[in-house]
Amino acid sequence: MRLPRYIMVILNIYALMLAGIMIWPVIQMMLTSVTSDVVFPPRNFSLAAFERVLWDGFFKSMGVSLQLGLWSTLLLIAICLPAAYALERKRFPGRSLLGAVIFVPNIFPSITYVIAIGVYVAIYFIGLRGEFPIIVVATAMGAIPLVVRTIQGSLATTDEVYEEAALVMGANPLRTFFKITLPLIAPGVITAATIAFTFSATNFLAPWILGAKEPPVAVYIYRDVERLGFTPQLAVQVLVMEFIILGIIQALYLIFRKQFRGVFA
Amino acid sequence: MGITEHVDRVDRRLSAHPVPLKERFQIWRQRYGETALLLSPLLLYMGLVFAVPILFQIAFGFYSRELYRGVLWRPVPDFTLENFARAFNPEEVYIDSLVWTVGVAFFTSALSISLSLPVAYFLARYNPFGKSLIELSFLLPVFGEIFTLFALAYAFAPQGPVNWLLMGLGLIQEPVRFIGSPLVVIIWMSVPTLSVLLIRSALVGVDVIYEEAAQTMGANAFQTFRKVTIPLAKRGIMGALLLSVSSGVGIFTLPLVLVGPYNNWLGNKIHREVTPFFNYPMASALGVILTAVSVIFLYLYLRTQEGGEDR
Amino acid sequence: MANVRINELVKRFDQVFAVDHVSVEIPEGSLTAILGPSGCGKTTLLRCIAGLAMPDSGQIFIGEKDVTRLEPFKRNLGMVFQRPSMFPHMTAFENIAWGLRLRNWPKRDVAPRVHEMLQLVHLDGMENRTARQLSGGQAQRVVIARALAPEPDLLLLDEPLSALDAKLRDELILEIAEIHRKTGCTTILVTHDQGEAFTIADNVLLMNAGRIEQQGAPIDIYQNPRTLFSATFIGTNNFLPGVVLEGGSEVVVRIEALDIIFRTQSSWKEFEPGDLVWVCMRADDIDIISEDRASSYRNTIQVGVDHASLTGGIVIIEGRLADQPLRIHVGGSQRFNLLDSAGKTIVCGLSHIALIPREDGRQASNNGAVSSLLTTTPLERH
Repeated sequence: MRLPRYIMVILNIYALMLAGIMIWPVIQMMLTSVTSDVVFPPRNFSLAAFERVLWDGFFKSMGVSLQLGLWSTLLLIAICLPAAYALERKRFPGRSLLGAVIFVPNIFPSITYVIAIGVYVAIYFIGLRGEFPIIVVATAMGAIPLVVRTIQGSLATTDEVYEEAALVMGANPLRTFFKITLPLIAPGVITAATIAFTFSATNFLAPWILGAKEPPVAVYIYRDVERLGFTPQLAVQVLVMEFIILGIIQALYLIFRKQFRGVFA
Repeated sequence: MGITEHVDRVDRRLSAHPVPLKERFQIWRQRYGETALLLSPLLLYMGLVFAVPILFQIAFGFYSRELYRGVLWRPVPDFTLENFARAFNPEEVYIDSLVWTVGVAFFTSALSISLSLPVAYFLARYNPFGKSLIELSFLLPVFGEIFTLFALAYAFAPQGPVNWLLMGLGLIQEPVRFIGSPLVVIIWMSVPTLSVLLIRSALVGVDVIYEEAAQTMGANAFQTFRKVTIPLAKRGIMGALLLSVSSGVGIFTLPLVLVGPYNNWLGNKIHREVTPFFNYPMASALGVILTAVSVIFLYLYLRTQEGGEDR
Repeated sequence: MANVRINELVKRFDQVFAVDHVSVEIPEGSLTAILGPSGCGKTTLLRCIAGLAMPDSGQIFIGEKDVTRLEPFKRNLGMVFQRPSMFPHMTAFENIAWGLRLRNWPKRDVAPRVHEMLQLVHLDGMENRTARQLSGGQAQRVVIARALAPEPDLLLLDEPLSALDAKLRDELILEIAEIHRKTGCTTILVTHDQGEAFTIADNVLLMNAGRIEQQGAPIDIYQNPRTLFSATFIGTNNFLPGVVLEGGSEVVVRIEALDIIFRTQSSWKEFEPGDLVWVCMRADDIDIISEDRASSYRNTIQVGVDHASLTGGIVIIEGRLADQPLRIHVGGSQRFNLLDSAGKTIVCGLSHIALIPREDGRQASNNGAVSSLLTTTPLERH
């Protein structure tokens, strides 16, 4: 509908303000990391906070996070790729039901099912409590719906005709999948892997509740916050964490871009 | 196999005799065998890692507990309603917590949606200056809880920008203690984030024709928005509201860190039953209740989507 | 190269028969077109031959082998699809070479064969191009080359030209005919375009609602349609309801409504006196003649002209035989003389009449479209 100009301007400003509210924290974080205390307007610019970042513990937990991200992603792809293929390409009774069931972990408040897993492990697998594999398995659960949906989306937009052509040409289903389907859905799979990795590496809830023996960085930072409050050093650590993770994702993306020439637009 | 269609149904009319069991299994295997193989990792995983613990959680809700070695509690298989009874007992803290949790979720969702309406409408109908930036910013909370935590901590710190602004505007004399009080969480939950995108898609579904018609009939912008746009987008708005409440009910990390471990949110109360009380049955019972609440709102959400397009 | 024998094939989708007890033989080395309107089941039939669809009952034999339940990758076939199917992430060379490797061709024979095939489809020099660097028509040619490279038993084409523009279609259909001539591979072409089918096929299967209406050489179907569907799907036909008075080598038919007698030969069916028939006169087989030439035709009629127009190069006359509407297509150099014949009566000689069995109560409109005849269209799966 037609709006008077002044209203359009007001709305635009309002929208930008809200956007600003969203974005401000990022800037704030970056500002804080280069000051020596937490004040607004920022003062006392110094890089002191960066020095302390080289805490052993931080990088060790960063390593744990990356491993958590890696294994979790591998697990997720191994589980969700075939499932997404079945959901998208095959017909079977209960197909739409299964499609809905997959989203259930996102529907449950995550605290309740993480606690459910924690209690379950504490009672029946007391010896395994806090072990890395358990953390990986529990963390991965939260990303299942998104990973399945992303891969499924990629399959949906890839024409089935290529797979049919390969079958008639003499390729059995397995060969067809690896030689034809996979390269064509690669962008979607990589996106899904990226989502899985980010989600798992920065995950706090599952590792913390389940008492991870080797804490990933999110837990590590949390523990420091409990001890020290929100100091600039910790702000730096958070930024470094994000930076590293995003950096890895970008690097992997660049590597894979070259692999799949002719497929990316 | 991949795309090969298989027999839809073994038609008794087409064969001379009823199909023997072994052959029926063969046909099933040929038709669904591959699919079953593809789905089994997922089904196994979700079964073992999700379904089983949840079922146990429901069961544990009915357990009682006993002292073990004098200091540790451990759950005892039983069937008792004492946990649920305690949960709903007005003299205990839990029902209070439940009301608080749901109430806050509802209030903040409603507020968030109201605040997002103008922006969502703007995004739906026009091309604002900085559109991509705006849209991108609403996806930022996805960056992760830790990031949000820090960002809020700094924003609402006693010396932080919010207090600075409020003092600068003369609204307050001393910094308000946001951190440590539920206020910070409530404020954050009220800020329109993803709800903007949800509302936008609801509004996009309303054909501009109706608004233009109303305007030609003499309604001004506000009237049109109130009497035409909103009612037509009602289903989408209701849906966004219910979805928002459903997820707001399960909030945990933010209150834990920004308000303190002894806050009034149900998620945190559940966690406290485990650590330090080791009261698994109680925690489980409360977990079931919280899940049930969330699921109820989700069910209502699905109901509002009914009659529209398929999932 | 092989022949195909299909026996009582049935394929249903829910309650609808896409392929309804089809039995047919496709000769070795032929270029067979499966022709029919959308939804008639032709694509489903082809996919059953390819193995991409599993029939509910019946058999399919390729050569001597029963392939009915055999997976598609175990049949030795080549297929070209309606939608672009050249693998986007491989060059033209790789597309074709992969097919050869799948069929275990010795390594050193692969490259020469690929080049040979590219030459066959007039694309030599393009082997390093990907689908995005080729036009739609070129990509389809690559797919044809890819399908034929491993010397398959059959070449299956599922409406291969419908995604291309008209001019390209005309070119490519002739190329397909040329390729067939050169390779001699049994080729099955599915199409809804009768022009395509009649241009290149030596054997046509006319399909409707899951059944084969008629099979034969194009000229045969054209001149001697056996069902109302066959008569109306191809070209423009005029129909008059009649009754057979005499059977035998020369059939005498009486048009009751007009009290006219026609005489004709029936090449495919013995008609008995009393049989109900449709008398079919193709719009192109009605010659405009002068009175003195009337005697050289076995059947002549007087047509009152309502309207004459020039469309697509031919003159179309809408007229009537008594009160029955009639349509005539006039070619030949004298046709323009007829453009001002509205209101006049002209004499027409019928060069060819076909007879089709008629069931009581059916209606036929005289401009080719017989909508009441076509049964509910079954699903056609692509």
